[in-house]
Amino acid sequence: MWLRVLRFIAALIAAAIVWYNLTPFYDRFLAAAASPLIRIDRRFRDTRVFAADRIISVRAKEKRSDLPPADIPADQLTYNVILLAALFASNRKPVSDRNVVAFLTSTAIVVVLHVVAVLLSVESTYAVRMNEWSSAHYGTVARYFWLYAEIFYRLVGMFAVVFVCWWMGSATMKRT
Amino acid sequence: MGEATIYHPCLILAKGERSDTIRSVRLDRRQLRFLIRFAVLLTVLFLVIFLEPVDRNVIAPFTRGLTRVSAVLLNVLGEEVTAHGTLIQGRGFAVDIKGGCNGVEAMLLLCAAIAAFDAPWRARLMGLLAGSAALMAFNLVRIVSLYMIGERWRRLFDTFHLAVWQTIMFAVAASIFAFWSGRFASKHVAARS
Repeated sequence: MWLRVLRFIAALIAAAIVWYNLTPFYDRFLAAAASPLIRIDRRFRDTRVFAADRIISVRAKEKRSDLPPADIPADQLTYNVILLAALFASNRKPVSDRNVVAFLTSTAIVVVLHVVAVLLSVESTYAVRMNEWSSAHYGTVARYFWLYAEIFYRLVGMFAVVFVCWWMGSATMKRT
Repeated sequence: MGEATIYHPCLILAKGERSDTIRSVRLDRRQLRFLIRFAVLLTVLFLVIFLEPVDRNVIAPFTRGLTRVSAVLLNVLGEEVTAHGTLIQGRGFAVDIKGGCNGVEAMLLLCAAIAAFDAPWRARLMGLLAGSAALMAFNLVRIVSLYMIGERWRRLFDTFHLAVWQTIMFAVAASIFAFWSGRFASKHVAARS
């Protein structure tokens, strides 16, 4: 029991350090991966999505465009990987093949989730935080949908997905 | 009855029996049911706490109460703070406890997981009460420690607020669920199957 708690704490510290230092590079990947998804929405067809200083930014390609600039703090979208690493490290046999494979599979799922989270944040930012531009380009239902989707992701969704991945990994390990 | 022991593959995750790796991510029906119930309950509970009457009559008073208790604890530890609404104010530092910091989200995750799990209602009720109480205790430690960190090492506050304590809160919720489902609920499932 205590060994598992110790492993959890050690993994938490290690994962937090790795996450903090790799985030600037990871943000660039996220911006590049989310960009085609964001451009599916015709409102953002002519935009540039890029990452710098732990921020993912959206800018219009043309200077004459009326699209306001948006900056999204990327740290707040991705720190659930710390929980993922700490939970898998606290499992009974952390370096067993099954645990490692389950961890890597879960990491892949979480990475895909991060790309979706960038899309949610961009849509939510433009739907509710751009004053007149928001009301001119989004209907009431759309505004609420994107806002609640983003809040859900940030408050519980990002952790719930990690919890489900860990639980599935643990459940299959116990059974085999 | 007895279906928990039958091995039904999840079609999305496992196609055939190609390798141990693929076999390892199979879910049986009971687990799949749990996941669906969990997702539905979590979404419903999340929407409920954002309803204006719920927020006004339950969440807001709860958060103010949490603020007052945290302030008392901080004063016991010699911090000399005062509580105003959801604000804890000291000599040179203040924290405002908002949604996301009151521990309600971690409680939602725990409640959804326990309620979705195939267990007797009495075990679920006990799990919900004891688990929520444990999470609240952890949240008090979080608020007190965050205030003390913020007052002494302002630069570390954001890291601890976001990455460290949020991770710990949800890890505690996950651990409580794992402990509860392993100790209490699994007896029921074993007895049924």
